[in-house]
Amino acid sequence: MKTPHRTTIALVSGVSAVAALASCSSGAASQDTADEAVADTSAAPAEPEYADGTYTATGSYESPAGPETVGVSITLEDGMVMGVEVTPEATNPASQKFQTQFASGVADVVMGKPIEGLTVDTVSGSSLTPDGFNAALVEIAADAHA
Amino acid sequence: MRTPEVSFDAIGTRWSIHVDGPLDVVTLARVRSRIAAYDAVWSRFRDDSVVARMSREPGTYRLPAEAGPLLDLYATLGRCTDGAVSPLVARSLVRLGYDAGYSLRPAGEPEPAPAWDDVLERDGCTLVVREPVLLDVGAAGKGQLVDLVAAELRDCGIEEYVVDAGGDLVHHGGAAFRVALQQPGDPTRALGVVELDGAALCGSAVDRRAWGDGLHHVLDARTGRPTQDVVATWVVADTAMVADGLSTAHFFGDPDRLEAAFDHTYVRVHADGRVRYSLGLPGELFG
Repeated sequence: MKTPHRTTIALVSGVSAVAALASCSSGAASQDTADEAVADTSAAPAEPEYADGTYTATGSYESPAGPETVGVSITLEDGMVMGVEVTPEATNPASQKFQTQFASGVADVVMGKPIEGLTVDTVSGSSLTPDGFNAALVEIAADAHA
Repeated sequence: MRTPEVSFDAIGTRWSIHVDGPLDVVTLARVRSRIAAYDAVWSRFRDDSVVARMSREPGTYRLPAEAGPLLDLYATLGRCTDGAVSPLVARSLVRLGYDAGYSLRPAGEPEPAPAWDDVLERDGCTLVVREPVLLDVGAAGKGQLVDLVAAELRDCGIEEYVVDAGGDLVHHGGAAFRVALQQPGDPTRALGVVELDGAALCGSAVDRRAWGDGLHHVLDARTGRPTQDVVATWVVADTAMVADGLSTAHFFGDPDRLEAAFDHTYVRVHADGRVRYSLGLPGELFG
């Protein structure tokens, strides 16, 4: 499932972060606005298209306790946002809490992996359902086929 | 501590206890008796339990000490979910067929749970039951029992253990325990791995106890209908009771509100495949 663009816009605006979309290959992100980052794209067409890749930026804002920053990283694939990662960087405990909560709002695409290939001690979610429940299900299935 | 020292079936689930040495018979006997005592009070699947008596006869019922924190937790979860989580949802479950005999056949239209104050009065661990009411602590009771079993182990001098009740578990001491989060609907795949270290992990998934036509065991107490948006949750918290209760609350509640009320991390899997999770989750989700 692809995460639509608007999710990302809502996320970034939600923290009022002035985040620049600077390519990770270009090194440190500057603290520009997103609009300016679009303008920076070489030979900007009328309909700006972004190259695939991971873009990172640091947003800075003024909190009641002073200036704080938050890291944002966005992965684009075929013009779609495939992943958003928010890294809390706040020093003030209250800001830290808000940033962590904000970061937790990220909806992501998760692809299951075969459990067989994992090194784990146990599995959660595969627990036995009550014996009576399972027996009743078998009975219902039998009834359904009768 | 990788392989369980002892495994057994109780309260309808598989228990595994991992300790750093052999588990002596006295400790095991205490564990089994703790579980039996809990079941005798709270099980709605047996006629002779205290909650079964409450469902037949009004009166004043004195509950054991664990009732205090358990019912307090339910009250807080109810407030955080605007009433969606309630220990009085059992009648709605029975209505949909999830009864003591597992008829699994709906007996009528969905029915909202009664309001607590309309049927019950509580003073500490004493309940005054004004009209017969079916109390179901299924959302947090199993977690609490995991905590109580862990307390028995500590009382017997065991410092390093994992108590696992069918995927709801608590870890204490020793190396972290790696737990795969099973992908809803596919027992062979995992969505991620949690590194459990001195904490509890509980999960809830609707696919495990579904009996057709969108019927499953996680009901919204306000409507008596099964929830549709979230299909699986996991919560890591200090105690299994809180983790267990929150794993149900995350089917309904706003995660930010729940995070403000309880120190925990979570994973919520939505019906459309979206996953929402805490950044602080100890472990990883596979992207």
